[in-house]
Amino acid sequence: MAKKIVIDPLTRIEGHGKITIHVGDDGMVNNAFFHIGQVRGFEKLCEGRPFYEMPSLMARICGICPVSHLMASAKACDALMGVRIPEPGANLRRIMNLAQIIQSHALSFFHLSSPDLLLGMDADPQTRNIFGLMAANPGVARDGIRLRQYGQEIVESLGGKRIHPAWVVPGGVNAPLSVEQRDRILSLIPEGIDVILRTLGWFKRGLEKYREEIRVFGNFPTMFLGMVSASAGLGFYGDGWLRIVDSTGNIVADHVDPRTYQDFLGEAVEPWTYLKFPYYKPLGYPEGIYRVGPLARLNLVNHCGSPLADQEFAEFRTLERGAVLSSFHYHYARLIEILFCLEKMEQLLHHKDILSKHVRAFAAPNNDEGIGVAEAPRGTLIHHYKIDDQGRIIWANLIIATGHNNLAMNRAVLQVARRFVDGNKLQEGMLNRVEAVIRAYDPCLSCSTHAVGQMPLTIDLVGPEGEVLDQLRR
Amino acid sequence: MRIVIVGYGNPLRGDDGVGPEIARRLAAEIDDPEVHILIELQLRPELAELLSRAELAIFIDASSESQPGEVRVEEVHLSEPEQSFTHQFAPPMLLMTAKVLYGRIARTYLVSIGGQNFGLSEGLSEAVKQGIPKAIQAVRQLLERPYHHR
Repeated sequence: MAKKIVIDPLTRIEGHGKITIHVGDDGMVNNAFFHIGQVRGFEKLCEGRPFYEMPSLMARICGICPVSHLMASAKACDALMGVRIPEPGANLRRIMNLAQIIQSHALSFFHLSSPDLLLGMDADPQTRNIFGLMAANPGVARDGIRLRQYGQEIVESLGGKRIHPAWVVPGGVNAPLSVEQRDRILSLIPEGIDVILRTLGWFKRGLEKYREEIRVFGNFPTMFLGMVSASAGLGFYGDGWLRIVDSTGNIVADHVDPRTYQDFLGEAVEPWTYLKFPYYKPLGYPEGIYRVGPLARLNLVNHCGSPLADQEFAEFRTLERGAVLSSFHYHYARLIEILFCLEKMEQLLHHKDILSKHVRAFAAPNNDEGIGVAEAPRGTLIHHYKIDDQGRIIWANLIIATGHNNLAMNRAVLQVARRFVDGNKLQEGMLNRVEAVIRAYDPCLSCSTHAVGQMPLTIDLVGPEGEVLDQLRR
Repeated sequence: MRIVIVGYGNPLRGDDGVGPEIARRLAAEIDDPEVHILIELQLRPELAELLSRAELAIFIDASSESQPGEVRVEEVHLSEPEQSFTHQFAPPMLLMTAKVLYGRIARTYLVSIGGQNFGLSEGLSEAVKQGIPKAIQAVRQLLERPYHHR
């Protein structure tokens, strides 16, 4: 008799999600689905609002990566105004974006995923959490807190507040950098670099333990998509171009203007989830599967663009001859990106014009359509707006990073379930691996700040008539 | 810094914004470099490091368990860790984090005010507004009390 295993809710991810695993009569997994059961509606909510409100409104999408939405939204508004913002203003935006990526990556790696990595996938779930991590390895927990503090302090220093800062505006930023701010941020960088190099060290030393997870954690051929800088390095601010590579690392498309995204990206809809499925149009759906985010970015670029990160990047790329395919290595890529962000911030803060007062351009709307693209912590983020002759939003389309990865996350869940889940017997460690593969992508499902952690995790094995055949509760 | 005061809650959730409101009023009244006043949407694990450096910590929060406007003061103790976690902490979990990672913790109190409306809205209900002076008085009494870190 066919059965269905349900994991609801997933824990230690951003938002609310659910996994169902379908088991056939032979006890083998024959399908798996990653469901997002909530709808946010921001694209409709903003209709009728003045375009200049968009960065502040769109930042409310997320409590973890509001700065990414600020960036993409402000860039879409720059395009509506038809302005080229002053370079010091662009550099200040870049610094805030880098700081946010540090704190978001640190949250994902240290707080959400490192309990699995340090305590083991089969560890007792009562201790496989941040408190278990603190007891087992307080140094790692302190490092995670320090890196998060660091990113948060920079965002707060620049934006006036840590969450939903209003400093990034259409045309640039609304205040220049002071000498004191610059020196304070610079003073923190050496410690941040020490922390992340230490973390990379223990992570790489422990990789051998996870050989099996690396083998089956979303380890399959896909394309990779993302923005690269003008020198084909990491370009989080999104002022270079889009590049797409295939699973062998060969470039499929290069120097692509991200404003043409509708020409090559489609969005499919499935009845069992609210999250759409973007795909690469030339290959169709679902064959046009691709991945975005840290792993994708390191598969796309020729180099990172800073000395220490470039050393780590060179080592990372030796993992495989073509693109690095295992989604387990999102963790590894995340750590290298933190290192890059720290070094890049230092470069930008030493720029000769960084203290310039000329940080904002002013204009009324000159175009009725604007597209802004930036690399968020989780991948490429696209904001696309149309306005009426009064500057009011009449249409908006957002493609968020987690959406790009939707096809890949579903395929990864199926792969892990087939390897680790025995449908006749539910075991905590096996099911945790199904969750852990989702955590590797660091999905931001609701972009809200509601606490999943307050909800119990229930896993049901359900028969075709709805009867519960087996159940696990944490 | 010897004392840290944290008013927390979401001002877009009606009476949940009373913690930040009280912290704002205290910040306008207290001019003392030894007192660090923070306004937070929710408690973050990063605050544990601050708690380990302070001698006295006072959290101010709305409560759904008390009567609207009712003010309660209770000392916060270390809690057993909870199994699941995202990025939000409760005061006892913060204390535990500070103790385990940094070796010392502040003497910590929670001043709570009963709320009435936690729906999507801005502004405080009348009963909660009337409780604010009493909550501020409770905070001031804690500040005047002799204390020592643990």
